[in-house]
Amino acid sequence: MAQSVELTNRWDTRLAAWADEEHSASKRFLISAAVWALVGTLFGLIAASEYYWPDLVHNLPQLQFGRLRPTHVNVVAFGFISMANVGAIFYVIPELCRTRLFSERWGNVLMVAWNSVILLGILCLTNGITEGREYAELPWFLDLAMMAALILYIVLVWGTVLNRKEKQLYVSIWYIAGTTLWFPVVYLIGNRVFFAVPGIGDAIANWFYGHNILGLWFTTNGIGLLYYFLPKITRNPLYSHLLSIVGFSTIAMFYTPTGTHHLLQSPVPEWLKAVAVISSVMLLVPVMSVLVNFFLTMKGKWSMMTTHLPLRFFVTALGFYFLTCFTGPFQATRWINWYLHFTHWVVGHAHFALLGTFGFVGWGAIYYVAPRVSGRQWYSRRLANAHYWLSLIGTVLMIVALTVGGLIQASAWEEGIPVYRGVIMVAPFMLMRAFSGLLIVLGQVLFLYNVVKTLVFAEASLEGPLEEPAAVLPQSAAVRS
Amino acid sequence: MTTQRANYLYPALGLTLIMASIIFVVVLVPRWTFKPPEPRDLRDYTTQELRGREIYKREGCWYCHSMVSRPQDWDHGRRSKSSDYFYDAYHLLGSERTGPDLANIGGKFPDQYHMLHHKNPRYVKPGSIMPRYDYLTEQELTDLTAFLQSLGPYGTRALDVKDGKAKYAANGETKWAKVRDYTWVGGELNGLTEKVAMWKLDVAQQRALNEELYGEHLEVPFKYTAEIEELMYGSSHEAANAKGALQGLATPAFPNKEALEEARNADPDVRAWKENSFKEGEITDKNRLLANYGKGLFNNQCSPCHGVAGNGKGQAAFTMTKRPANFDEDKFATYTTDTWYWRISRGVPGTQMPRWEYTLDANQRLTLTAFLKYVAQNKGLGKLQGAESNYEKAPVPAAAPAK
Repeated sequence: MAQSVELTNRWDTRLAAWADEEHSASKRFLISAAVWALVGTLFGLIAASEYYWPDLVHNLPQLQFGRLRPTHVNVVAFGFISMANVGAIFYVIPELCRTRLFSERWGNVLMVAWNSVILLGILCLTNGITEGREYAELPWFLDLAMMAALILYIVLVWGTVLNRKEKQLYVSIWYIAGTTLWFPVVYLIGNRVFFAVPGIGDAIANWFYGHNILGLWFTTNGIGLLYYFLPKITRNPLYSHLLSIVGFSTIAMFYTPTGTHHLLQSPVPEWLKAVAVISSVMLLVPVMSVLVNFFLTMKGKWSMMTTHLPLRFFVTALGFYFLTCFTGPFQATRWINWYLHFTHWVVGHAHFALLGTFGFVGWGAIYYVAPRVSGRQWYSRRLANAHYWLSLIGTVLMIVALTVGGLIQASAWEEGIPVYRGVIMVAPFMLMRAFSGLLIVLGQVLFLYNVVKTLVFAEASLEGPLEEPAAVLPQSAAVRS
Repeated sequence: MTTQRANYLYPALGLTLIMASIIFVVVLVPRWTFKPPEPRDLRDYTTQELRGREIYKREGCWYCHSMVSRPQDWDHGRRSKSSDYFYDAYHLLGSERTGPDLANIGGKFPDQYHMLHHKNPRYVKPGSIMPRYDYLTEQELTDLTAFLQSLGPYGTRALDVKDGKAKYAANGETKWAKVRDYTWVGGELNGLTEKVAMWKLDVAQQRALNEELYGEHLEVPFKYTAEIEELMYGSSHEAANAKGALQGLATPAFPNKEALEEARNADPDVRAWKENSFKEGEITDKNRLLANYGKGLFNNQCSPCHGVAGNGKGQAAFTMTKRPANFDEDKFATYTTDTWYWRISRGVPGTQMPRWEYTLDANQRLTLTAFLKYVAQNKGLGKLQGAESNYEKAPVPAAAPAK
């Protein structure tokens, strides 16, 4: 009896130490993001290959395109990008508030829950258990689990903010805390399980969610993080506080109504389409104010891109953000949408945003935050550089292939060529797309290897830090070494 | 301290109120005010069709196939209305069109085509990148076929708006729906030969297009072309089963071209089609009436582009990137009845000629076929209008009675 009590106490102590370690939630979120980045992009590579080799996987329903496609999207969106965002936020928010995360233990609970949802999501989607709504395919019980996770996330963020020692609320906190208020409502509407909207009305609700998960989760979290990273890395002050107020106050106003621009040619109310198109064009206001702020904050420090790899990822993300959010409002107008809707151009636009912008923010955030929460310099700068170039070239190739393929499709349809012959006409670009996917997956392999060497096995750095000057390590780590 | 906190509180409250108002407008107001009417031309799904719809969702068909016919899809069929989705518990509009739109797919192909297409799309569409669904059970494939055949104004769910009765009946849980009179009844080929002919022509056109565009890619992903040829002309059903390549397929195969021709001649529509074709130089009373009707159709439907004289210089021709055909050209004299009918029915890829199968019924297309065949074989419409033509001597039909 005494012996078993002692054993139980020892196990509890070790588990508590594991869960309560400072920055441990952030670190584990970042590791999870790196794992899901590889898994998600690998699913994407197989799906893209099936555009050129339709019999690549035969008699294996879990890997046929119609099931792989939602699995790829959900793993990359909720697994890689979202977990990278949360991991970075669990570092940035305590830093800006000069305090610790509200509860490191509950942060680790959230990490376990989130990973469980992603894993169960893969099992459900590849076996055909799906809600059949874009970006909201996870079945209802996983929706409930994700909603519970979001509530816990809100408690952790707001608990940290309300316990802050720093009086000033920096711009990043507005964006991140604002997201915690906006996105649960968006998620609730998009993944509703307690009331049905039959018929075409279901499409209106679905695309309200489909656009706002990009606008009020990925965009607001990503921009919020960049507001911290760019001034911090360059040591330049933020260019304009006023521009940040303009960007913040307009981003929610104009993102919310735009979802119906995915339905401009469907039989939904015309007034709703008009609202969506107008607000889509008005989105240029928050986008351009944010970009002007960031680019002018970078003034005089552009050369740091050559010596500071995380900064290089962030600036690359800004470039993609500019391109995707400049073309987006115009392709949402009726005339251009009439031509481009349903083509691969739209898929290219989605990859511009998710892969190009928020994927690069995610990778950059991991490269920046991981040394600061683990006390380890990155194992290999060469691997990180290779990852950057593979990801960049792969992303650009993919977007070019999808954009050109989409234009070919659109012109073919306009000429009256049947849809399935348009498929053959874009076959070379689907091959190009699969090849670009291969580059991206190779990049993820190098990245995950680097992450495991650095954060799990804690091996010594081969070539020195990724940053100049080097990341300042936490006090406790310095004392230990 | 209090003042600084208050500075954040009021803007946050303001933004939250604005946000709530916007969500109210774009989510709740449409929910309350947008009430698509119950359709009069469409019935609810049967249990089998709902099972098929669930399979369509589960397998992710909607990622490649949209289900909304847009204003600019004028050659796909009629435009979708909000009432078309009245009976849908969840939407499957799709967001990409890697494959054709399915809003009006019902009745376009026979059941056998869908079953074969789902098992291996490249059996009937060389170059298709659609996955194979041969891991589905026969029942699941049948349910999926029943769902697809239920869609659109020619589907099994279509109702006659005058009396509310089904236009094309589906027999509940029976395996095959009767769609546009194309049925598989025992060993009979009823209405199937037209589709077989079109498949054959599609294959021929497809291979020509492949060679023109991707000569070096011909083997990938078109390695099933041989199977298509075998399907069209191939060995008997037993031999196909023995090879295992087409095992379990319900679609019949023709031993050779002669057997295909014999099957086509057994079809009363095709027989009538041949009988109505014009012979060169011969004009009879029957032909004259048919020519008049065909000429009327041509003047109404075709002359805006092809010109009243059939020379490709109609009023709309100058707006087009590809000139409409000039039927004076020699090559049109070599067109067979099959080719004319197929061209009129399916349109011409790469041009703006629509698919008249959505606008004109089979008889009208056959009449146009006969008219155009005569015109092409007699060097154009000039013959009909020339002094030497017997057409001028035809008696003028009696005027219709005054209303």
